[in-house]
Amino acid sequence: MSMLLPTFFVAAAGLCLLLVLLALWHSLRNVLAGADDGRRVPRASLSGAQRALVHEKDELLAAIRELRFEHELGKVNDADLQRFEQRYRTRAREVLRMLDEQLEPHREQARTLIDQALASAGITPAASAQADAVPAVPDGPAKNDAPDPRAPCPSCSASNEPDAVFCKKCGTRLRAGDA
Amino acid sequence: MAALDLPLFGNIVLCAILVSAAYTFSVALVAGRGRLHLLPAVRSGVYGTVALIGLAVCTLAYAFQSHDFRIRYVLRYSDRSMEWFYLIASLWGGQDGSILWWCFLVGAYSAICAYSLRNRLPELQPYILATLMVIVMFFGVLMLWSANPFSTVVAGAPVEGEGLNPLLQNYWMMIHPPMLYLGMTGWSVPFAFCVAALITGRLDDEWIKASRRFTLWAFIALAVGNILGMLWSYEELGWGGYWAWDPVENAAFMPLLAAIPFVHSVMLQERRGMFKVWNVFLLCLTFFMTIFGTFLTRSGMIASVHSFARSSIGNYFVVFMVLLVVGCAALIIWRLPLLRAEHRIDSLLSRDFAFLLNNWILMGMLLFVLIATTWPLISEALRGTTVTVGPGFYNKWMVPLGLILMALTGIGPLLAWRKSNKTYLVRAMMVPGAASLLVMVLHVTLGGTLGYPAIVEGDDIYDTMTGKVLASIYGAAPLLSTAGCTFVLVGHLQEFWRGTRARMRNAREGFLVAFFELIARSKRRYGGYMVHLGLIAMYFGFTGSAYDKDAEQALKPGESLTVRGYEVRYDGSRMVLDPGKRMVFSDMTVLKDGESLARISPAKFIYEKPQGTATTEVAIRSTLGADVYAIMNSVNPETKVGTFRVIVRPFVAWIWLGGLLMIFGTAVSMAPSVSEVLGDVRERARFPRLAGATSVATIVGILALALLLTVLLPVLAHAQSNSSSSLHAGTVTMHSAEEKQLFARLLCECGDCQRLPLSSCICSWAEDARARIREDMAAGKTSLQVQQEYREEHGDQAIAIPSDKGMDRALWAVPIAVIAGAALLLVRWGRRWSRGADAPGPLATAPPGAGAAADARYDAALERELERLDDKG
Repeated sequence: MSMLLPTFFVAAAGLCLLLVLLALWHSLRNVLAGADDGRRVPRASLSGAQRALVHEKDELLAAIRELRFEHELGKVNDADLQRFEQRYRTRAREVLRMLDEQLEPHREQARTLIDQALASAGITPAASAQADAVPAVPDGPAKNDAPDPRAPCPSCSASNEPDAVFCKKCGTRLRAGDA
Repeated sequence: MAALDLPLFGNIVLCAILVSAAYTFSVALVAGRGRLHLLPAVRSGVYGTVALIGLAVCTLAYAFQSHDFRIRYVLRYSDRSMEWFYLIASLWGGQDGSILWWCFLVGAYSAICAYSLRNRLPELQPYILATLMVIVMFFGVLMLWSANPFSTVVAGAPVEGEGLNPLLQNYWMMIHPPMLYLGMTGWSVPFAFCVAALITGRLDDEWIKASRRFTLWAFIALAVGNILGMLWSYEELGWGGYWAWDPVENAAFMPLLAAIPFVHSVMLQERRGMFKVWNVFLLCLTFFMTIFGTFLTRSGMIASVHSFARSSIGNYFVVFMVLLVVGCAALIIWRLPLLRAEHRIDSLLSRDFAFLLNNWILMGMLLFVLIATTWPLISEALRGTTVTVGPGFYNKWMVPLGLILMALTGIGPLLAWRKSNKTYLVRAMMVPGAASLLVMVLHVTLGGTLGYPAIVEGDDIYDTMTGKVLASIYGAAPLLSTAGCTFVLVGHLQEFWRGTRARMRNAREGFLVAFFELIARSKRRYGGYMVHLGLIAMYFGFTGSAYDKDAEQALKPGESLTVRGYEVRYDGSRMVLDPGKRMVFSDMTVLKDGESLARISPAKFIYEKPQGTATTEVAIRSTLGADVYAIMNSVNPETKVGTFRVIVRPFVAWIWLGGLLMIFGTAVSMAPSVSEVLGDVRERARFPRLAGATSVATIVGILALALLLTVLLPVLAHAQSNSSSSLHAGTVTMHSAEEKQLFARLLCECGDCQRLPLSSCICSWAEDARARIREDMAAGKTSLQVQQEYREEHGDQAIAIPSDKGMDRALWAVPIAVIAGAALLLVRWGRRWSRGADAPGPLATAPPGAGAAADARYDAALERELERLDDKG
């Protein structure tokens, strides 16, 4: 081992030197290439303010979840559960409302683009969105107001997708005869 | 490489590191000013800088392996006879190399951070990486101008090196310093996130979430680094202890005391948006303490057996620390409007308030240790008097603070966030309370019989009321500690049980699945509980020190000495020769009730170089119940009569067990969720829960079994044929526990030794002093009287515990006053904040015109989100 180690460190030093050259070359090339070298830095899909709202929403949801858990354990009584959850929900609704307001112009733009794309493909645009469409959550698929035919599990009552074969919570088969 | 001028090459690389870090810093600043397309250039700059530091490390490592004694650092810390692994350890064995190693670790963290960020957080990224490059630049400046690992000897390369200090030639050198440095340098990353958030004004929780894993890793690495230091001291240094409150030990402990409150109170910010200023301050303080700790050990300003020699490096650290303080303060003040939040605590009986109390006591402990560690400097600066603050001071004062922390650890998890149901709280405390009460009763009634009395003799360190109060608390500490440990243990187990039972009931899951899901869905909570359990195991181990017993005796082969029921028989001695040293082993057998338990072999190593240097190798038989710790003082080669000291230390192994549990708990907290690994929620739903729970349970079970076997089966640690130990000059025969405590406080004033305590210095001056003191005590003088006379004769610096008079009283009075004052303020603020709790907040009601339909729509969306959160885990 003592004979091999000097060679090892020489090889490691060589590798480091190579990495240095590669990294600094890449860096300098990027700097000297100017504003646009064909690989744009992906911009965040949300502005800073929107991200802050999304984070706050996530924290409020986590807080509600934790509150319900502590209520299950008995640490929080019913009155406090109701009071605190109401506070969280009120703020969460406000956050969703603010997010909606900020995203609405983009939604309009998206609808217009979709209509144009459909028109250019010769497809009649779909009926306009329902007047009281459910606000889209930035990190989730948009949902509408139509009753959601979700399948409750007969074993644990968890809500499942309409086409679910097995319950996502307890694994009970929901649909006989499916693959 | 042999033809290359290695020192010149090394110096060029050091210069290149500084240039590269400066370049990357500059590009990062430009990128942060809106030219985000430069981010790939910044990241590449980071990788290049790290590769340069790696190159410097490889160069130095090659210099060691090829014995290039042109380089002063290689000459000073190695020789041709050293094994390859010690040549590697020498990289960080001295000041210069350890600075390079520190720089390397900061660089490595920077590269990992840059890679993990990649296309995330584009607004923060430039400033995160710029901050890290500033830290690299600081260490680069240090290396070039103060601690250059490639500086050459003036008079040409000698044929042979000076060799690594025998104290450092053991396997712990491969483990402890790297781990501790990983912990200390690890805080650079969360600090960088914090600075970036302050600069950009993005002070929501985004930066906290993004840096969470780095924070937890730095926390556990620092904790483990400290524990490994304790283990090294215990196994190798031959004085029988694991923590001496040495300034260098404190330097590694203080960042931990700042980090623990941060890890807790950051949760308050995430949940309630409160204490943003405090959290930012805590994180800056933690990072500052890592730099301050490094400054203490390297500047040589405080005498320590661990520290490096006094040098000019301290000036650079002072400048950097001043810049840190000024910079952080300026950023915090600038961003105060964004950081300020309305503080509202719904109830004093809440986890929120318990976390505040946790912060209070840990900050109090930090203040205490900080003042005590720097007291010699403060005293010298203010009144020109040198004083010594030894372990006796800390051991007395930290006990009550530690007990308060233990109490909070027990009560906190029983509380709910925001407001606890009083009925539940009383019910929740009944079982742990009853268990701890039962343990107290058993301890009081049976403890004495079993050799573990509930109340022990606590000696006064002061001749004032303060001394008496401290002695009383210390005396009752074993009882309070075992009761407290029981309360915390039962309370936490109860939390696990109640959570599992709730899941079994509500989700209709079996026990194993419910337990697995409980932890998987609340990793931070239950991982944190596991860390608490590890802490309590350590507390239990510390409690055992109240029951240490030792004996010292000269033995002929075949004779025994008995300590705490363990008979240790001396069987004989033998010598083993090594190219670098002579090793004298004494073979001993540990027996209990006539049954042989183990064979151990304490030893003495006598080195060729430095000539005549002797080190002591202890031998330990370790079980969960007690460690039998044997030290060989000397052996007469003709008569084979040996002088041995045997210490029986109950429960020490629990300290190391607690450390392992803390690692496991932190790993659970840091673990990715199944959805993070598998991705899609639908995939998560198909993940077979029972199979997953069974797999995890099997793996954990195997690990636990291995651990159990490790701790239940006796572990023997004994003399390594290629290692060394011993910090102190030797061991001294003590005639009583009172004598031992007194001599531990009085320092040798011979002028030659490092002012060792009289309990371990074997010079003739110390021997005479001990004889005189024994005469005085036989004549009826008390320990305090003897201590006072010794102080009057030799000065304050000769006593390891400053007096309780005059300015020395400030040593404890200032931190205690701050702790007490802060407690009062906290309760007052808590009451004020909770008074407004019932009033609706600014956004508690919906703005006008929102409409019930919109509310229903948003509620439905929230429910779906909550469901998805449940699925994700």
